[in-house]
Amino acid sequence: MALYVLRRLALAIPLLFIVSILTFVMVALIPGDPAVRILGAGHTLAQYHALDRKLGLTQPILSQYWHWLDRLLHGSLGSSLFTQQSVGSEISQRLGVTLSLVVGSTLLSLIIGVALGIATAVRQGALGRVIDTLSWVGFAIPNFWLGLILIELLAVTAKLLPPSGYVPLGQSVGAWLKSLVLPVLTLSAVGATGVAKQTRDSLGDVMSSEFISALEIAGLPRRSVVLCHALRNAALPTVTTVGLFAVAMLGGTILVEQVFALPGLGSLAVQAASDHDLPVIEGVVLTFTLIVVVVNLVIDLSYAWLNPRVRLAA
Amino acid sequence: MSAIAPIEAEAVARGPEPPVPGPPSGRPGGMLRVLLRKPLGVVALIVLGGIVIACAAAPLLAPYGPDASSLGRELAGPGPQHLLGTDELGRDILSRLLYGGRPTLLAAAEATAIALLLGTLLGTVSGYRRGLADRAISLWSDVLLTMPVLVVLIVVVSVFPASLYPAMIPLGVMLSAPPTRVLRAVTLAVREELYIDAARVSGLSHAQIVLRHVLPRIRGAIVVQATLVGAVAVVMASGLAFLGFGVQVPAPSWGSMVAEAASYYQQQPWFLVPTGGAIALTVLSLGLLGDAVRDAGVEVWGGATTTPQRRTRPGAHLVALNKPHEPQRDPGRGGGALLVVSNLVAAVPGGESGELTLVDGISFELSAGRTLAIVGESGCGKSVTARAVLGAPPRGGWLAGSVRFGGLELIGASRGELQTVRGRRIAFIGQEPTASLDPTQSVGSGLAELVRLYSGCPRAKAKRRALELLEQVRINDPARVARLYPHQISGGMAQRVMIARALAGQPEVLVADEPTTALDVTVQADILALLRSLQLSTQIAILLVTHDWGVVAGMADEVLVMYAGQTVEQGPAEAVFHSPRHPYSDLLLRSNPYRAAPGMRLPAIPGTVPAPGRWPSGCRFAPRCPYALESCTAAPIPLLETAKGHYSRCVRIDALQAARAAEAPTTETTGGR
Amino acid sequence: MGAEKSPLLEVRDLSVTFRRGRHTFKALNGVSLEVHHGEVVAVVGESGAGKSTLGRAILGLVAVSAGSIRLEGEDIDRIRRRGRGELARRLQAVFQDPYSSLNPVRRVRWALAEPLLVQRLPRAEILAKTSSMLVRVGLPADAAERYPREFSGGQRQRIAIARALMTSPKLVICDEALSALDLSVQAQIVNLLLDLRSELGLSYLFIAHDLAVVRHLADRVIVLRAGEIVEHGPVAQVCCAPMHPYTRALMSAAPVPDPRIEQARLSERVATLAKVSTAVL
Repeated sequence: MALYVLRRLALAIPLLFIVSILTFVMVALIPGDPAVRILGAGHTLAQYHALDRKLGLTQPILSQYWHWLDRLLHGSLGSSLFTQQSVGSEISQRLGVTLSLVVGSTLLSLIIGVALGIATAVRQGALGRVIDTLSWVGFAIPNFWLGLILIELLAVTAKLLPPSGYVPLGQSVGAWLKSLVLPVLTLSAVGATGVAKQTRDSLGDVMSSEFISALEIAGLPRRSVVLCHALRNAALPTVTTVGLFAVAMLGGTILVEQVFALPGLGSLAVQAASDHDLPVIEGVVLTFTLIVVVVNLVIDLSYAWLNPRVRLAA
Repeated sequence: MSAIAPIEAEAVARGPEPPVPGPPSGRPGGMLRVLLRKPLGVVALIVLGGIVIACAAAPLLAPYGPDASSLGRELAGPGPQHLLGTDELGRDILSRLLYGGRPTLLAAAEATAIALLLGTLLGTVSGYRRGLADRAISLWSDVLLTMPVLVVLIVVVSVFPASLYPAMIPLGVMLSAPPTRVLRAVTLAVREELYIDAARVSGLSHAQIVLRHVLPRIRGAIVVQATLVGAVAVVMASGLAFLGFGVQVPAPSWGSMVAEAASYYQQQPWFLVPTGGAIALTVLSLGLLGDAVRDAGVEVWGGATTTPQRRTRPGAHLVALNKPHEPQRDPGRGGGALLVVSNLVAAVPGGESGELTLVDGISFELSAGRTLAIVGESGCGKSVTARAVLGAPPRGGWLAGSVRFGGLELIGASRGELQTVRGRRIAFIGQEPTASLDPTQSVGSGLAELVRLYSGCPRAKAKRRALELLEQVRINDPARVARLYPHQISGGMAQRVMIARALAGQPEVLVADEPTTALDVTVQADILALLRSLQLSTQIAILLVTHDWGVVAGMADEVLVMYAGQTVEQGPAEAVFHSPRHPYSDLLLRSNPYRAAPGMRLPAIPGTVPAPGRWPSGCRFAPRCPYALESCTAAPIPLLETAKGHYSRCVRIDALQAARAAEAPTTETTGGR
Repeated sequence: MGAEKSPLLEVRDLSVTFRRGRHTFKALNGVSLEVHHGEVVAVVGESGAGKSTLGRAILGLVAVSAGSIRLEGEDIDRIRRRGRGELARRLQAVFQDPYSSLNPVRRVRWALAEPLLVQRLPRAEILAKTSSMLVRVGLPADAAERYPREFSGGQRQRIAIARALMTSPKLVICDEALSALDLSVQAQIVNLLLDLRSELGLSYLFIAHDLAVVRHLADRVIVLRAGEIVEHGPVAQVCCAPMHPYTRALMSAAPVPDPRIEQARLSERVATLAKVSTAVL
């Protein structure tokens, strides 16, 4: 198992670098000039050249990347071309918001999804078909649209929750929770229904397998067959699905943060993209990728731990 | 050899056998036909088609131009003039939706096409070639899946702000990763099929094989992936538009209209509904269509169909199956009988009459220390019978008749009553030992769990007992094996574990359904010896279900021969082997190469076993029987006692015995080689 | 058996090694055998012995690590290089699983025509050959228009045999061709194989684990264990008077439908078990 962990970690690092290189190249090849943007209209050529040199934009791409990498290994992500603020600090300020969203929606999806999945798998019938269709509805409703609707219904009309804005955890736990309820609900729609369907499907699959029927014919009561044996086996594909949806919901935070005006990484990304703020874009991409890699690693490790075949492999 | 000749002559005279009449031979490529029978799929197809056509034909269908504004009619609700209302500039929402659908759907189509093209190519190459190409492509997919899609898209689209199309290229590339994965898995599975090997042997090149065999087989999966990717692409494209990317005001696009609707919610809440609804409806129909296509694929190409499990009670017509002239076994007769089965019937839903009988009136008794073997070929109902003894009906079906064990009637018993018997008094071992064990549980912990269940003893004691049981089944080093998981032990070892589990409750009866069929012949001999020695020491009664007459010969005290759901012969083992009283048993024993002269044609039984639901009304073996007469097919044949304890369902025993007597005696009596 | 002195198939020191990550597994280790014209040579062994690997290596479905395979005196790789259809004209196969050896979405005639695809015969000739081959294996000619799922296991295996014979090969490798069939059907197919052998002068390399069938069908038999040959010779000799202890164990373990013999064997094994347990206790 330890070997497996090390191997997965070893694979994760090159992955990070490949992604960062790809993004760097893509962004750097973009026409359009940050220097022009910063100076605005009516700048002189001299000012332009000075800024260009200062920002290091005159150098060839490879050396730009090399400098960036060098800086990164020394613990710095550089500074924004526009605000001159350290990219690292901007990201760390906003990271909490995005992480709260992702973790919250993943947990909610997991709890609701698994509970619903178990309930409908054990009892056949209409509820199961409802879950099937509902899971597609959950996916089909664009999260930005759902967010808007929830705001209008629960915040504006019913005045139950704040319509937008974020209160940091340090200020007030209650207000922090309240500011997160609607965004997390919005994000979880697709995750909860998807996990429910997957749990139901894999539990159904497991229930019709040979060893379950062997346990029943050996006289095991239904309850322990399902809860102890079937669930343990169905957990494997479900865990993988939860991971997939966690990554999807991470992407969804970009839109949700816009709708709910939350100062997270997503809104930073949108802003930086319009500004062609290269260091910020790079930093945001790297952070997102890091989160995805960590999520995948957690999923892989959980899977390995649950599955004896992987856990005990040489 | 004179008896053989008429049989041979018959076989030749019958000529080539007709194919089994099966389902109507329509083209299985009529997956479309199956698809059209699914209501949800049809609706989804119609809705999707409608949306696409409507948007494509926007210039013809839209009541207004996309920019035509009606002053004084801003933010109006739905009405006769404007079916879906108007926006903040008085423009007709319906028209703008129709025009706005075009860039969104086109962009999504572009991304989907790229994703599927790449995905199919990489997936099939990866799954077919394996090796280095596979590893490289998998690494590539890993990289793609790790990239934050929306962020990358935003960056690209910010460069080309006027349209969505350039951003669709990287989207297509990134979205090709899931189809690559899925199509790789499907291709791998197809690659394992033997017809691929046969094609190789015939000299076809790899390219020919992929085109002829692989691609047609995976086209269902390709369509499903296309709908999934399409759904994601629509969501992404509209999401980008919502953020303000890729649109040129005032040109409409679905996502940007939602953004407009958001800012004007106070004045006109309705505005949000059609704008977001269009996106939701399109994605929903894509998703439901994909589900329907996948289900259709499973139906057409086999794999378990999800038939709903009906727990219906047996209908009145089952009563008629209890034929009155059948010799009813007197339940009180067997003095030492542990288990008495009378007129066991098992059926499942299906066939033309709605009910398919699998077992049609089997009766037998089991006594302590004795072995009854049920022997027959596939489809005769022996496995169903084995499970019925534990009160378990066939999947989705039901049981009738009587299975009495120690005063308790097991057919129709409640779950609680069955649980007092299962495992504790009647145990079961099946054909696939490794598959019968929970893969996530170690051998020892599974055994201990059963011990605790049956005896309620504390954990430590249960653990010790588990080790004892492993010793009892002659496993060396039980402590080490107890720590192992099912995938770490061989088939033979797994069957010993299953026997140990069966013994955990100290049962009086063991039902073994083809326990050694999946094992090597030397392992089989060991397992059978183990069962026999356990029987000698514990006096356990064994019901052994098998197709192998050699196994029967060693183990059985009594033999029951099954054919097409019925008992055709039943009696002491010696009698059945040395003087069979049914043509089926006789011919089956004769056609065994063991009894024939090497290199000569075997006296084979012509034809095939009739499937349940297609059983002839008279003697079910008559169509294949060399002694059959008209009287055999006229009416059902009863099971009669022809010699002490030896039953037969045949009215032509005299002819059979005459034929056997005419034969040279050497082939039967010694039987040795 | 054959009139020609040189063997039809000659395998010398064949070795096949599989790699799974860092582990290597030697499936076959220096196996040599010969099949003469008109002969039936059986290869028996338990699971993992390497018998399927042997068949697949000869057919070119699995890479050979060492050794040579010659068909009619010519190296088999040379034959393949000459043209893709070259080998198929002389060597064919029938596989174990009748449900997996035919593409379910294609009609039977499509499957039968496949071996002739590379030979580039005119369509009419292929159709005629298809019909005649179906009749020869005991199926009606109109079976060509049906789909595999309309046939039983035994019938599908007949179709597979018909397909193998389309190119009029000299050697057919039967890889557990009877194992998945019911007993009554097995007898039918055994008869068919015997008939075809005498009618068409075929040779078989018959891979199996059922010793009774092998004894009935084969002229010579080779016993494989863990990738190596432990014994080989004429079938009567190997089966009735085996010399190697493994072969003896195999022969005595294979059950025969005679209660007197089997019950005696069983009692003996049970007695051995009792002795062992008392020794342990």
